[in-house]
Amino acid sequence: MREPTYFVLAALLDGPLHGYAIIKRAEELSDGRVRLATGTLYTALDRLTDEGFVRLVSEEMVSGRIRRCYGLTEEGSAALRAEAARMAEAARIVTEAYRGAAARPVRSRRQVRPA
Amino acid sequence: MSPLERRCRLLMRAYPAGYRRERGDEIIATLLEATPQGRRRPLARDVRALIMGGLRARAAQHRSLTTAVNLRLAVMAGVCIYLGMDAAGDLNSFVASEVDRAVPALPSSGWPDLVAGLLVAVVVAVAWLARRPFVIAASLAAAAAAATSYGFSHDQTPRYVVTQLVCLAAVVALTGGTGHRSPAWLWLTGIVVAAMVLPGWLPALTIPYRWWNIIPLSPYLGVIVVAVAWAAIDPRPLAAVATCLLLGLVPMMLTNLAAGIGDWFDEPGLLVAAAMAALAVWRLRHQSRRPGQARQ
Repeated sequence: MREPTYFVLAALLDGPLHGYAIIKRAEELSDGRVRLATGTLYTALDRLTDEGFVRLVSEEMVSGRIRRCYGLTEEGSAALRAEAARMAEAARIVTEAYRGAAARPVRSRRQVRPA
Repeated sequence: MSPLERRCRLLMRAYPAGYRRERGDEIIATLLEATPQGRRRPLARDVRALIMGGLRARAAQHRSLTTAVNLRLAVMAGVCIYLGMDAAGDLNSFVASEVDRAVPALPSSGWPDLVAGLLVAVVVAVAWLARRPFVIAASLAAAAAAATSYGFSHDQTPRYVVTQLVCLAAVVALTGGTGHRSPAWLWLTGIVVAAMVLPGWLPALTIPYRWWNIIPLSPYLGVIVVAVAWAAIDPRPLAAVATCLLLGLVPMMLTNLAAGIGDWFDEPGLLVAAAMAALAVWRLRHQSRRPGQARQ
């Protein structure tokens, strides 16, 4: 799962959101790293809807314009959890490797033989 | 409507019309909210993403149709490209015999060619834009004009008029059944015909013929290369170009074979067109929706 897709799904964890709210929430959750362009968001939403990860929850008219809210489906929620677990596992491997390396005593490169 | 919204609506033209009807207002509302206050133009990354998203949506259109429907549309586009080139040829004959004084006067009048060419061009247009009764009426008129033009001609071989009549009948047959015809196909037809025909006309005006003569096949090669590359996204234009080439080459080969001249392997273009058709059908079978599968 690509990072923007991950954060689009993560943005919907707290409940259904409309397009602009998804963009803002994904930016907040990623500390500003993921700034979705509008076209990218709707391409992702189309794909996620086709895959059954996201569904249209409600439609309303705001200032004469249609506003649609999207929510996570069960499959989307499961896929997000699985991706988070995969990333946590991948992070754990690297973190433990560094921790182990830090715990080992540092050997000098050359053993100096006493005279 | 603000200048920003006007520009956003213009950008939305990258998407297919059906998609715009369904999602256009929603995407524009999001785009307007996401654009910082006071800006008169959308952000560069939004422009880029909308154009790419629109092209992706256009390229994905055929995936919701079955192989049979996609093939029918592609074959009809190929027939229309062939007819469009025929119409351009008729116009060329008219110019040569009635307008261009540098060319020695041809023994026949060019006016029947002009009428036939214009009517064939009308058939190509209504095939994508109008309801079937209009297509039938225009095809009948064009067939009558083509037969009349052949009657007036002293140098035309029967092969051309027979192929033209078969193509007109094919247009009528292929416009039956379900819909999915759209003006986008007319654009494709126009662009391919222009790419194949215009370079042949321009050199006479701009470049000495001896230079152009070195690369007479280049427009065809250009169209073929683009169609093959585009087949990775949408193989229908490749199927259309292959159909057009086969319509030009197969009758010629049949005529030659009937006259006892050469055999099927004498014309490498025929093999190329057959390979293109096979590649397009193979890609279409992979990319199209299966008959029982739900539409996305």
